[in-house]
Amino acid sequence: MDDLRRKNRLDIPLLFTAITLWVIGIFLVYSATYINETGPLVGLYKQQIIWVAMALVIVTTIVALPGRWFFKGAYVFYGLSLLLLLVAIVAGVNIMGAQRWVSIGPIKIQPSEFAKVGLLLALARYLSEKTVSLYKPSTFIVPGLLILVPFALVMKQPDLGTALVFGTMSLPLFYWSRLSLLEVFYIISPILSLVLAAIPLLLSYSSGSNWGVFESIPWGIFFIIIVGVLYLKRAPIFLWVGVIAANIFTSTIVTIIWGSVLKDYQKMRIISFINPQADPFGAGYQVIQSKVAVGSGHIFGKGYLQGTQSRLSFLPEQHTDFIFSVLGEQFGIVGCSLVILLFLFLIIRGLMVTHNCRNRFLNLLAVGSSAILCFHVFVNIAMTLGMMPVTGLPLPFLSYGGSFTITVAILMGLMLNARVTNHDF
Amino acid sequence: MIIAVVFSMFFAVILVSLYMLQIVDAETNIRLSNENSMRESIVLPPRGRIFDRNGVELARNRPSYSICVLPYKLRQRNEVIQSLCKIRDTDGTVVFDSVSLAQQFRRANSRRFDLHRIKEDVSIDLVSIIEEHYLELPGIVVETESRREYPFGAATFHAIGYMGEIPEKEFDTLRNQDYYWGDLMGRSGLERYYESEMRGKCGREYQEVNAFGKSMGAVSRIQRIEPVYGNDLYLSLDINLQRAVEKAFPDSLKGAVVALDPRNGDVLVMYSNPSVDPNIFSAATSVKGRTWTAVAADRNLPLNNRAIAGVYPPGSTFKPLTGIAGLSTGKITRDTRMSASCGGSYRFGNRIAKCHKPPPGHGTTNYIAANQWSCNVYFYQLGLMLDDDNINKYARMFGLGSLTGIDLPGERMGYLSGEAAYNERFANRGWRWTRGLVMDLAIGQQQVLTPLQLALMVGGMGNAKAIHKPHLVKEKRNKDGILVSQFKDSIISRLDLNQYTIDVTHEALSAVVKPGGTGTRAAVPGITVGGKTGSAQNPHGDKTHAVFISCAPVDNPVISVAVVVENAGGGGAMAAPVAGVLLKQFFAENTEGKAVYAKLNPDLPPLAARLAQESRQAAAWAARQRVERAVDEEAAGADQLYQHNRETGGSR
Repeated sequence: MDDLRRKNRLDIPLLFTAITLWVIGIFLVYSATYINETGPLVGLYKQQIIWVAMALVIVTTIVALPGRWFFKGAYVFYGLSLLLLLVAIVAGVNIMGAQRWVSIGPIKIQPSEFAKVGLLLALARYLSEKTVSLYKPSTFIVPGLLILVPFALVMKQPDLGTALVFGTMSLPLFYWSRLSLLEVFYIISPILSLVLAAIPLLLSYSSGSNWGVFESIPWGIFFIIIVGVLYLKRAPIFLWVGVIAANIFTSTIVTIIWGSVLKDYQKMRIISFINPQADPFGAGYQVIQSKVAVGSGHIFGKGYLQGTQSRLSFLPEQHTDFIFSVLGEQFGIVGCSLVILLFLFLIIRGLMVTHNCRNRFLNLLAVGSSAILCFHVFVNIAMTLGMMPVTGLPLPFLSYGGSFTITVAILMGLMLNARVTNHDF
Repeated sequence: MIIAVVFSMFFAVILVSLYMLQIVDAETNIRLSNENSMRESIVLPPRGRIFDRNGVELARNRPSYSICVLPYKLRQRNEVIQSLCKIRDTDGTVVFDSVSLAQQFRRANSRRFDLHRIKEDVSIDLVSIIEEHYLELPGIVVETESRREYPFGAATFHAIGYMGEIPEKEFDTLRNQDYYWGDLMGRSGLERYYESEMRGKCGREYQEVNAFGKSMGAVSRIQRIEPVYGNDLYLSLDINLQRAVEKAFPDSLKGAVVALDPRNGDVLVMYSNPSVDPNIFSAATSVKGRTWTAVAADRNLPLNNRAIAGVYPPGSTFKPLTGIAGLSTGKITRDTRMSASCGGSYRFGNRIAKCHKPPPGHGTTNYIAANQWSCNVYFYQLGLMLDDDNINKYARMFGLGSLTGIDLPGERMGYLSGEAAYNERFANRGWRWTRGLVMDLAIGQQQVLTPLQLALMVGGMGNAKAIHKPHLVKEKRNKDGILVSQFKDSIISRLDLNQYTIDVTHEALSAVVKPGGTGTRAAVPGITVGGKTGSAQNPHGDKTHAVFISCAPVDNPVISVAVVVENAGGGGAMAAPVAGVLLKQFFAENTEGKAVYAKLNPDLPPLAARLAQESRQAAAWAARQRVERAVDEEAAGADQLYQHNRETGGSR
């Protein structure tokens, strides 16, 4: 009995790490919005303090609630979050060409943030009761629909970043529910196909020349590998057809999308990721300034509140999406590494919950939460460092923003809840 | 477990990337960050000011604001243009228009990192509007600069000069001397001559600028290079005299006035008409451009400083110098009468040279009367007695025919004529010197001189010792008023004259201004004024140039004056009154003049009081005249009415 109680105790280091990151976040938001003169951003850190306080309340509440409530309410929450997404599309506030916000009185919320939680709960609920396998495609019908509906709604806004979150958070969940690595490879192969087909397209577009047939060489090699794997692993015929069809489909669709569907600003975003200098005063501006900010931080940084890039407003969105460059500029590689290690600790710790927890649903929640956080951290920092296109995903704990802070708080609550809750349901 | 490994790999990738950015490329990124946030700016020291001899400011600096664009900070160009077009000045007028803004922005794009002015010299209200909205106007910056201001405008234009942008030709040499493209520099007058003295040396500082191009103050960790201030100039000019001359000079006529102190070369007045208000040249380009075209195209050449660059035949004002040559060489004495008496003309060979007085002419005169009446016939004969070499020897002694070396750019030396000079000058026209031309030389119709040279000459005649180098700047002081350097008196030439010549010349000069002479309008009560009128014939118009030279007091002058009024007629009628106003003002108001007057007239009230009383009397007389006239007119009117009534029978 004693052993059991120890296992079920609240994970203090995990909670402490989260609080540390939130406090760092408040200081960074203050620094990012600290301008010598009056500006529209002055005082935003106070708002962030309120969000963090709310977040702590939410974490406490979720930890206090019995785990089975979430199990029972999973589909309801999922349904509610879809409803909010619909509202955002029908009556949303249009900001920078994307309908991401819903106003409820004075509060503006981002339904796509809550949809992440909703999808996580629904998938965890489903996967805790059923297993999925590529060799039995019918098992994918329900989880596929669960993902596809919010995915489509978010793409409609359009918010590519969040849509990708839905996709990527699902993979670890599937893997956790007994999907083999080979099956994971089959699933992501169309995405790899897409990337390999797209890269030569982008390169030739930005260099202004047409490479003709040679554009398909990387994808061709990859396609041969897929065929080899399918043959060696003696895949069933429907897998052959499915995987090959999906790969051909994605690689062709990318050419069509690039040619006619993508809006110009989206194209420029992608191009500016590959070569920010191509448009240094437009789409590439943010990335260049952000890289310069982080890079000029050197080892120990310029000191708190001393960053010229952030203080002199060279960084757009410096308090939200580009908060990491504020950190990089003012605290250097030492500060960055410390924060990244805190993130890593938090995410690994979240995965380790599963060692002590015997409840499949709660474990799935913990893995999913870790995955969502990990994906956000990686994509956001990679974007800040110019390794990835600007997708508009905020950095958990550090970025300013109400909806996202609360989402992170819910995810943290679910992680911690797996430890303390009663497992018998 | 595999999930944890995959996640850790993501983080490892990030850490490697951080290492690349923050350690490997740190130097580049730090440099870029500095370039981003700092702008080197030139700190131009305020230009030295200019004061007159009594410490009155003649040129100063005023702060001025310009709206500039910094193209590389300019994002969303169309939105910025729209925002700018919404701005209204306090009187409600729209300040910018979108077409010219778009054009200016496009032009500015060629030098992305330089400031380009889009609106010069704007009001402080407009500046505060722009500063308030800097968030909506990325790349729009307010620059403070200083502009030159001349409180007395056109009155001092030619002496002081004006400021303008460096001409392209000179920029190549000046760029190594701390000048930048578009800098202002003195373009004429003292501004030009003392350019390096007044400009000082530029300093440098680094200013922190934000992403909108707005300056956030100097960067303290980088040493600021302090500017070296320019020196202030203290002139010998007396602005009160200068303005009196400006007022007295006939507005519609061209000409120049120079007054100086023959004892040391201090230039008291230097005026040239027509003039320009130099403040226009410091105004915004749009205003300047319009005026500049008008000024540059003006056929009266208002930019010319006629006092030093206008060359005029001296006419009869040269006669005393011919006289000095005659007296010094012993060809004549005070009472010498010429063999031919003046009957209105003089016959030399088959040439009949006229005197300005038609027959019967001046009759037989002595030297003094010949001067007083300016008899040409007398001087024709004297000239023939002397020859060109003798006349020019004395002309050169008085510093004529060469540059005086005054501290102004663009001085001309004039031309003394004479056999050799004449043959050389007109060789291409095939003209040769003949002896008859000596007659013209003797009456000042051969040579051309500047008004400045004339003033020096007449000063020398009174002073009789030396010709001092003329100068405008007496002292240079630094910005705290501490003396840096002083003008050192130097002598252009010593006058080697015997006392008899001097006495006779003084007598002749004063006779001109005394009643009966041609220059009575320059007389000053209580002072023996010496002078000489001239009506110089010239090829430029149907009227003669009116010339008058004067010095006072004649035997020990403290002021000498030269007045030239182009194509105005007789010197006694048109030029002497200007000199009269100037001299009266000098002895009534100028400290030095007042002292001299008081010494010469110890028992009389100061000249100012006497002049005031005189003018009161004149006014009273005029008023009385008016009343009498009015009474007469009334009487005449009543008379007429009476006549009228009587004729019509309408009296009731």
